[in-house]
Amino acid sequence: MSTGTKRILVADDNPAILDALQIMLEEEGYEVETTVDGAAALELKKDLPDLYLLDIWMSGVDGRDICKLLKSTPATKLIPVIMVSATKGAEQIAKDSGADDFISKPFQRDNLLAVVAQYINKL
Amino acid sequence: MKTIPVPVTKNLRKAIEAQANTENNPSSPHKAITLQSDESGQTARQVKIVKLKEAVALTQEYTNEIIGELDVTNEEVTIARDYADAIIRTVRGPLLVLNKDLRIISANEAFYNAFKVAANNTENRLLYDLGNKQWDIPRLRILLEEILPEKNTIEDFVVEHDFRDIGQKTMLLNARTLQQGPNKTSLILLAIEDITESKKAEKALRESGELFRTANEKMTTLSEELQTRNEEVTIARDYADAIIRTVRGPVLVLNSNLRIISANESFYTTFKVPPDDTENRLLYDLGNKQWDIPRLRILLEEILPEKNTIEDFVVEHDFRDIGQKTMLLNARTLQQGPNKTSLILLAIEDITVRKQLEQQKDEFVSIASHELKTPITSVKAYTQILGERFRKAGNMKSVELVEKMDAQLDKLTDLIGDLLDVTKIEAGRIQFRESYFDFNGLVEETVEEIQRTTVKHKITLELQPGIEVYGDHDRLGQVLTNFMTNAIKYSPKADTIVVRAIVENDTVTLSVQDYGVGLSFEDQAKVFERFYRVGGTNQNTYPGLGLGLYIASEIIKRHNGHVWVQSEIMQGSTFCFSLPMSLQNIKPQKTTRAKAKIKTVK
Repeated sequence: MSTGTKRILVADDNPAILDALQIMLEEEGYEVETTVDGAAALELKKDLPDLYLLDIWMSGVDGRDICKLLKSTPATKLIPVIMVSATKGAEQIAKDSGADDFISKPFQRDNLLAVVAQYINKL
Repeated sequence: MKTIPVPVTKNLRKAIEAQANTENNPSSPHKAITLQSDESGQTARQVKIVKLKEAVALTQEYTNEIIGELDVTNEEVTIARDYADAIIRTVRGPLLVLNKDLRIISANEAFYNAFKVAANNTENRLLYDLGNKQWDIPRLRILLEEILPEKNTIEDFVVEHDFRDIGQKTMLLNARTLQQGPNKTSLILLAIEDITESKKAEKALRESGELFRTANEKMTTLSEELQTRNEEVTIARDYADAIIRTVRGPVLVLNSNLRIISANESFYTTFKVPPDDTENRLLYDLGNKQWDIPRLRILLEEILPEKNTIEDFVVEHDFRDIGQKTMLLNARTLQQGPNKTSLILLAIEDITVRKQLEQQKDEFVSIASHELKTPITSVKAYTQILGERFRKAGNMKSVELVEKMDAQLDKLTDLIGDLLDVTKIEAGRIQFRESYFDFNGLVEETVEEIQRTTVKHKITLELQPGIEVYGDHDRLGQVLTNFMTNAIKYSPKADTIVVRAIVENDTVTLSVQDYGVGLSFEDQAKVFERFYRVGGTNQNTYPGLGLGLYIASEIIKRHNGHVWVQSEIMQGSTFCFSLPMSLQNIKPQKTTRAKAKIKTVK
């Protein structure tokens, strides 16, 4: 759909993880927007990202609810959502919420980038 | 035969003599009979005739009188004799009348019956000859021939004798000699009483008396024993009661109809019910039917009668007075008393608080591991960013260092993962996401992954092609990883590890063989236990929480499989697990789930 730099929205309530993810993804050539407030992911009406990277358990907001909303909103439902969690077995939760994929924490850089690329390149 | 009694004859004679002496004896007491001569001859003769006639008449009168008297006497005699005969006949015991030569004059019916002899074989015969000489008893001879003539009476003489027709008998003899008639004929009355039965009875009585005494002694002993036992029973009962009372948790004693026989104090306080509303009542009716729980009914009515024991049965229930509780039930049937009355002991443990604490602990561990993983995640991410930067800069020495850091972070992650797994296993909350998957694929993947972590060891694969398994892909992968990392860890001086997978008898068996330090026999038995670490002097050489193999074995057990190890010290170990294939063919709906499964990142 769009050409040029792909934009990724990363939501995680841990600033260090957000920071590391941002560096990692930016060094790979993506444009990264981060938020510690999961709900903020929903507020983006224009300039929708090309991919969401959502933590499942965030303080104040449940990543599942955000994922469900994104997947039930016409404007965002085709945008891939990759959920991330340190909880084993959260893979099923991610699937139930309508996520496209799941990555467990702590993640391997190579794995993360491969999965992200896989979905971004489909677009 | 009637004899005229002597006194009557005497009187008659006197009367006649008196009559004859009247002439010379005018003072005769007999008034009118006088034979005096008269003045004139004729007159005198006439007078004589008259007087004679008078005398004759008088004599006649006397005679009649005497005869009358005689008749009366005879009648009396007849009566007396009949009476005596009647007595003899009526007397229940045998009675013989003998003459002095010991010949039988008469015998009564009882004699004939008792000795089974006929009258014609008895009367006029010698006593000793009777019934084939059955009465020819030496002692009887002495008795009748020597003692009786002297003493005229024998009383209660006991003769024991084997009588021909009636067998061994004990007879009680009473004899008496009578002088009868004008000749003073001697008669012997012999009364025979068969006291065999009473003797027997007496003997029996004596014996039973002895028996009674013995029994009594026994009774006393038994009674004492009983008392001791009773004391013991009392002690045991008191002990049991004390236990029931002392036990901190509620305990109910029920009969087989599930009525409360007794309850301990703890029961009353825990469930806030008084004894009056508890004892003799049906369990289900207690406390506003708060115990009428379907699962409890099944337990007590169906499972307990069959198994006699119920252990650690958890019932969650909203009790009327105490609210939502989790109760742990232990029940046991007991046979009590001589009637084998069934009793049910029901111990109830309120584990609500414990459950809550356990849950809190689980939640804590879950949160803690999540929180620990968060900084690891960022540290690992930074580390890998650094590694990538060094790589791009061509600083391979730094890349190597960073990769070592990364490997240590992975170990830290695994340790946290193990702690979390153990908590889940203990709580029974480890969940499996089962599906059909390519088992060989999983083994190859894992080997590849582990091979990357070691330079020294070469992992070789021997796989029977086409093995598919139904189970939790990731968890079984965890087991494979555990086996292989252990193989590397415990074979520092060897360089070969062999991984094999075969199918045999519907069972997949996977083995990981190393040529390392091996395990002692004792260690082999315990190596799958929780927190078990191989001890000895080398223990510091092999760090770990002692959880890996425990988790692995739990995962395999939950797949209805088995884990085991074959090992020899300094020869190496082969860790194996097997999974049943028959299970693999059920639940086809899981296949769709497998297809729907989110793809794992590679």
